Amino acid sequence: MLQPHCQSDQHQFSRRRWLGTAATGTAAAALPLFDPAVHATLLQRSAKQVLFIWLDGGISQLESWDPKPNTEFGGPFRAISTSVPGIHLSELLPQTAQQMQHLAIVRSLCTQDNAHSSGVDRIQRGDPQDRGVVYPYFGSAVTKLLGPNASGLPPYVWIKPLSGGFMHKDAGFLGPQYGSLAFGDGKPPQNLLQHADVSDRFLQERMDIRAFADRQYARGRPAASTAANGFVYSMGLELMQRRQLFDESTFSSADVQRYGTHDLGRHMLLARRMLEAGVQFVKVNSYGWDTHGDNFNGSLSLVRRFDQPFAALISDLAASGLLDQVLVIAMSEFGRTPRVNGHLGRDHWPEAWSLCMAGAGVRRGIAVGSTSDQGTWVTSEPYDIGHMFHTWFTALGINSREVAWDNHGQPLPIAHEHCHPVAELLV
Amino acid sequence: MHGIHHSQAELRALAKIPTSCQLSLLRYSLDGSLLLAAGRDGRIHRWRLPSAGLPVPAADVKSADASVSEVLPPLAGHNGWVSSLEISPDGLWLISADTWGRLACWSLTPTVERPQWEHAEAHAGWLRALAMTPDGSCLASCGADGMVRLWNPADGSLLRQFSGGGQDLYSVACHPDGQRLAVGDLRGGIHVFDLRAGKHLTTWDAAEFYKLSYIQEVGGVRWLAWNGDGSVLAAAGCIPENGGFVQGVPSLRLINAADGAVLQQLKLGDNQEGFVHQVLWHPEDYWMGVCSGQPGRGRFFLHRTAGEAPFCLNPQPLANCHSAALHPLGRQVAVLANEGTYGQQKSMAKEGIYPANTSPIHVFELPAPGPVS
Repeated sequence: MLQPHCQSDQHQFSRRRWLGTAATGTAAAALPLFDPAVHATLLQRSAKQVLFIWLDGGISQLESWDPKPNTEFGGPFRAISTSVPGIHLSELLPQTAQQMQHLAIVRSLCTQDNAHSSGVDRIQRGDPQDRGVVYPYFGSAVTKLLGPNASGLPPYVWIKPLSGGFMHKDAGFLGPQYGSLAFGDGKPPQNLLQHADVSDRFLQERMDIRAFADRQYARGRPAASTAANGFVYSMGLELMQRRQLFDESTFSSADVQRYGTHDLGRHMLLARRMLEAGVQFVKVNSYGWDTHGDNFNGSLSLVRRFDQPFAALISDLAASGLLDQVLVIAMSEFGRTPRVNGHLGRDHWPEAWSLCMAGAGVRRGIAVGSTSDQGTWVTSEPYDIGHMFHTWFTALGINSREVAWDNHGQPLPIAHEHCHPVAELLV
Repeated sequence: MHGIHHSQAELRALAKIPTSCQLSLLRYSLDGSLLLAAGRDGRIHRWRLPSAGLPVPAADVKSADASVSEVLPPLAGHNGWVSSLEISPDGLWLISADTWGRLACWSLTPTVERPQWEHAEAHAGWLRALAMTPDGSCLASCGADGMVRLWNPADGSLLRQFSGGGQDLYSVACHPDGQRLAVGDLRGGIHVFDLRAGKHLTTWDAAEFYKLSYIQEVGGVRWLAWNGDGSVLAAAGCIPENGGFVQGVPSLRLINAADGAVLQQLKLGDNQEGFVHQVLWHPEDYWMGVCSGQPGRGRFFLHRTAGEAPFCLNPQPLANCHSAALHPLGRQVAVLANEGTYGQQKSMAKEGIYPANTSPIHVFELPAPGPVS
């Protein structure tokens, strides 16, 4: 039974509604940042949020969530105990191990694609059955399904190395306005400062003229594409008001050290700030995880530099209470081969790999699923990415079996119909 | 800088010894009767060989013969990977290390299979390299914990420990005078210490051997070796191009021990290959080394300090060479390569068949002694 359809106009971002929250946003910006109590009061947030940490290229499950020390393919590292008796992680995750009571690990992922070019898309879109349409990335789907919250901020931001910009392709058939706003190297979009010669009144007059022109242009044209144009302007205006969010000098030196001064540390700290400010979906990318060569020395820096800010962030979200409403997911497009190649690398392995999650709607302190002694394949029920999409939607309060997309009258399941939520993972 | 020229001296293949797992390092016992290998299965693998070296096959025999080697039971007790092996100068003892920090001393008597002494946590984590003074009085170890530790090889007692100057120490070499120690780190630092006092003397910079690629630290001084009189230090590594695949130019840097000046930097491949993993000094006044390459390329090379290019290279690529050991008589060399496939063959796992890659050992006869043009 396909009901209720998620009607696109139900969740359409109204610029008026958006700007209506700007005053609240401005007030928030004038208050001390990162005070969860302030945010709880100001935003009255009951809506769920997501932090999606994407380790691009494929983190090795054997050097992270599913260690197999002293086995044929186990590699050089030890396993260490965690804050949850009986659950062990790689020694490269010492700080995360101390946060295990907040985490849920899935060790029985078995997915379909061992190529980056197609795998990234398939995983982030939930690998739905091919119906000739491009499904949205998880971030676009979540922001569409949850609808806008009171923060007034862009609902889907992407903090990443290298360049930024508006990434409309994430949105798939939802239309470009559900794309992500990428902050390249954690920096805000360019030219965010209001020019000194432009007064507030003059700016408003300009915006009114632009809005008038937009309305004229929109007549007789598809709403989705014209709405996206106005949406981007609205985001720009809001970020002008909230540019303090990007001011790294306002982070405490203790936090900077706790998260790490490397790219991922800085970006995760900014992600925390975005979540505290109410951004609905924050994606953080880290690149360089495709360790076909020198995997083990590489993991020494890669995994440890993930461990530090990840553990700090989980600890902070738990301490502030935000972890109750923020769903945290850390994953890649696949895992890495048990077999070690001649260049001491591990190659692509979708057959048996792991991810880590925490927070809203998720049981804590558990490891679900298992792999063979050598880590070569899954020995419990294998979970595809469709199972994870069902699980994540359910954790966010969305009934993934009943809610469907309405793609211009075509009902489409929001997660693969042959998969199901993983009950063990859900509260 | 020098490129690779056509080889001028020839290696002759004597045998290819198959192995059951991947290996990281080779050593001959000082009498030549044992070939020892550090296993990436946590064991020390052993072969008994003719002390005089492998017989040279008849001229009309094309395929190498490994049947002259006898496989002995491996030594167990290490964890993770066995990362380093060192033979005492008197030839009686084998010191071994692993990636969990264990250090162990074994009698080289083939029937002894328990260590004489051991430390389960000689270092915090990956114990990367060992070196012994020429008189055998001091064993140096270094590891990913950034520490250098000096041990009495006779009983395993700790003599001294100090910070090695870098956060992750890959390599260590004792000077032939027994007074100095060179330590190489991840970021290309080569730190020289007064061995007995643990006092830092100088640091030479090989920062080219390091790159930060996104958040991955790539590279490191992977091996250090002094020449016979201690006037030149050879540093092995890679000029990295990227993380992930970790490709770069396998490189050997020769450093004047008197002033730290770079005498030569030898490039042993293009920028899509791997590391010079090991370099050894041959008493006939040349360097021997091995390097890895992508995909499956690898070299064994001989090089004189004053030469413009290696005077000998293996004629056919040897996939990803990781170690070489010189037979004590100086006429044969064992080279550790890699064999097998890249890992992502899905169907093999579905069928329950998923064999590990292995590290065959290639034994070569070295070129005849004498000047090489």
